Amino acid sequence: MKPEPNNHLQALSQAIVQGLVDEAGPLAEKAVAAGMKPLQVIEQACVPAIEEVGRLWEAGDYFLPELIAGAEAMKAAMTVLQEALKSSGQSLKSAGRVVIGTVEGDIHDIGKNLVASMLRASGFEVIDLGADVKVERFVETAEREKADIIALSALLTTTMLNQKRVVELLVSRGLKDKFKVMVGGAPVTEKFAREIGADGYGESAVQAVSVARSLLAGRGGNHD
Amino acid sequence: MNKIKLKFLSGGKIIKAEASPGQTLSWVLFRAGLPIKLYCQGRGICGRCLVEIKSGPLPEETEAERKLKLERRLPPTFRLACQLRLYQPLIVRIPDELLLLPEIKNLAGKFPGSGRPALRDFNPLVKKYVLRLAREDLSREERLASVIKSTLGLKQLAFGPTAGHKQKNVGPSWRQSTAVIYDDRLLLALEAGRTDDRILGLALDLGTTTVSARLLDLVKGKTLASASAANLQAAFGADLISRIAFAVEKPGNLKKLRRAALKSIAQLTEVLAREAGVKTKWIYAVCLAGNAVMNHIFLNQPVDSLGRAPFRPAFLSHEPVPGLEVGLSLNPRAMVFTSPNLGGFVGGDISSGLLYTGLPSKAGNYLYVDLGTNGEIALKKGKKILVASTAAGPAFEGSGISCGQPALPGAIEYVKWSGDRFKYRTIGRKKPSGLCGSGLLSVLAESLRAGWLLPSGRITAGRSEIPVAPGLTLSQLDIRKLQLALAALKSGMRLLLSTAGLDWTELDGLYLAGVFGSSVDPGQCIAVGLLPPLPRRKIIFAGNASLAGAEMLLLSGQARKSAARLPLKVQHVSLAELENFQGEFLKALSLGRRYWRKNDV
Repeated sequence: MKPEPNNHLQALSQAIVQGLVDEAGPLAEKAVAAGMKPLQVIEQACVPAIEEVGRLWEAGDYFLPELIAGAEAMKAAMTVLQEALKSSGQSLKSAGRVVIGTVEGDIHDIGKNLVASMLRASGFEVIDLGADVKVERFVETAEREKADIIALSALLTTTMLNQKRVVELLVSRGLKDKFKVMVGGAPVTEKFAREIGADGYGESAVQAVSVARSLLAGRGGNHD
Repeated sequence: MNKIKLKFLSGGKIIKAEASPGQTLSWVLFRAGLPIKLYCQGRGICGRCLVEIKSGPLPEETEAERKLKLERRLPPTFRLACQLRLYQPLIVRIPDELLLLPEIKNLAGKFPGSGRPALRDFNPLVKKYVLRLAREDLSREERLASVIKSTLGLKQLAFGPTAGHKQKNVGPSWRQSTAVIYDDRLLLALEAGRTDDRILGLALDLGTTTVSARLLDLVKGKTLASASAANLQAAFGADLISRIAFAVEKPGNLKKLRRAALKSIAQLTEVLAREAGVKTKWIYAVCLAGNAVMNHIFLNQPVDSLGRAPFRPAFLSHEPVPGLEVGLSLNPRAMVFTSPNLGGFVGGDISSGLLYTGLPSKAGNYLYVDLGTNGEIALKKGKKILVASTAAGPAFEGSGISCGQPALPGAIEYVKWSGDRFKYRTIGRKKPSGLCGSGLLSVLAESLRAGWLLPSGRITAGRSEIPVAPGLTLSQLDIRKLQLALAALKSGMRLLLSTAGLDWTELDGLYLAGVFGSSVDPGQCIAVGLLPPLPRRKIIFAGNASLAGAEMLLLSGQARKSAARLPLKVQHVSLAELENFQGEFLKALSLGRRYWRKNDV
């Protein structure tokens, strides 16, 4: 096979869709070395590839391991491409800045990690506070980091009320309009999200990305 | 306030009931003795408590109902029992499959495994002694006490609060009296005449979904009857976390849960007594093996701490309590012995199960896996026992699976791929109505073998479901749920093994207790990857080990001593907080033997 640009793009795209974490980085390097513009590689290979991963997930073809592998491969490629952008004096516009964590009293964080990976893979900057995160810490971090979105995960019916407490704290500090709040987790529903005053709800990690995008559509970020 | 008149059509019968305006249908059903299963704790999100309004004005729909109807295109007469609020008289059909059946399963001779292991001693929890008493012995309590102590040689004997209260009715029959003594240390009662030929004990396994019980003759150490029934608490949520959420939601809810459990136990006890031809007032001792949450609820202890990290129980061992105090209707002086909690979600059902297998005192390395609504795991290495709970969920109880059902007659319990179709075997050889846990596992194993399923869990050849039997198919989503349940257990086993610095090849045995009866094929468990590929002789099906353990606790003083020591030997491991939890869990999602390959750490 000739090292044509399209072949590089195709190979990279396939590596991401198939979750080949070790191959995605070197393939991105090859594409750049072959003279392609990093932005072009991102737009023509990476973005369509991660969208294909999301589609396969929604169709039931992919399950958690494939989804995570896809996001990891995407991350590997993006690290290379962002580096290349930087050395040419450019930078990629962030899709938005998200502070994410599993709420207090809850130590389950696989779902949250998955959402964080998918957000990162989709161009968001993600600040992951981990699990069992205190209400105040979400709000303080969001302020300090000038975040756009606070994303809250809860896996237990007993802890999902702490999602509400975060919203309440934002309201009481007069910060509710400054950040969008999105919630998720097995027991959480769209109805619950609305009831507690959250701005968005995602049923899966793939949905979370489109929810985050729509929350920030037509609005300037809090960061530069 | 005006009561609303209602009629329920259920099981070919018409049941009349009344409601106050604004009450939910599910609550009225519960009060009317028709408790239904509320999988999502009545939050209107699972869409499973559908009833049909046969006559009467249709009440306004809630948002949850509207959404569900749009999704499923249901006619307007189909409503969610947990959402529907009553303001007008209605006639409502309640589908049979929704009812929490008070139907009681007779378990006689149905316990898989080796039955009762040889007891190390025969020393029932409550014993009777015949005494010859003189009139003056009965005149004063102190005198009576010293006579009984010296006659029986029990120096430490204490008197139960009302043990001697009949002493004043001194008649000729009291010359010969029978003392009822708990654990050789507490006088529970003094019965007139010679009654030492009848004393009964009740072994209880109080589970999230099912309550099982066995009635024992404590004189002969013989089982008189066994049965199980649904835990009526399911009317307040299907899983443990939703029960906790309900209990802490408002004051009084813990009591509702307690009453529901007590009702289940009372129904079972009556059936057992009838079956055995005995009276419930002859029951003087109960051994309770409940999971941690059930133990808390039963003993009226707050469950808050179990609902949030670090998920600590309010107690491990608990003093025996009078049955009357916890609301059991047996002999009014009966005592309840509780098998200890071991930490987190590892409760008295596991401690009693461990005692049943004799694992705490065995030499060697053993795994113990209890598969129920939760999945608990214990690993014994040397003198140490590690325990952990996993969030396996109720998938293998058939819950949340489109064609799933509990292990009742009609459930497919085993399948074999014959090359062009699945050959199946149902419980009771009835027409297939669904798949129970062992059936689901069996379909996974055979589907992998036949090429219906990839190890990733994807159904092959562009299909979206696996046809198992006429009208019964396993969907892709069902398989994903089973994968999650399996992964929780598999990763749990492996994480405990690695915490102990042990490889599965070093195991001397593996006990599998819980929902899989003896109907499950160890070969299929290995083929699916649920269990490591140990030689068959090392895999032991322990069935309802919790109940068998409770029975041992009733009969053996040694077993009770071991139970008291067990919490001290055990170390609880919080799996989700281990560093490699996520990686291990993701790896464990793959089906097949691959996960247990050697040197693949």
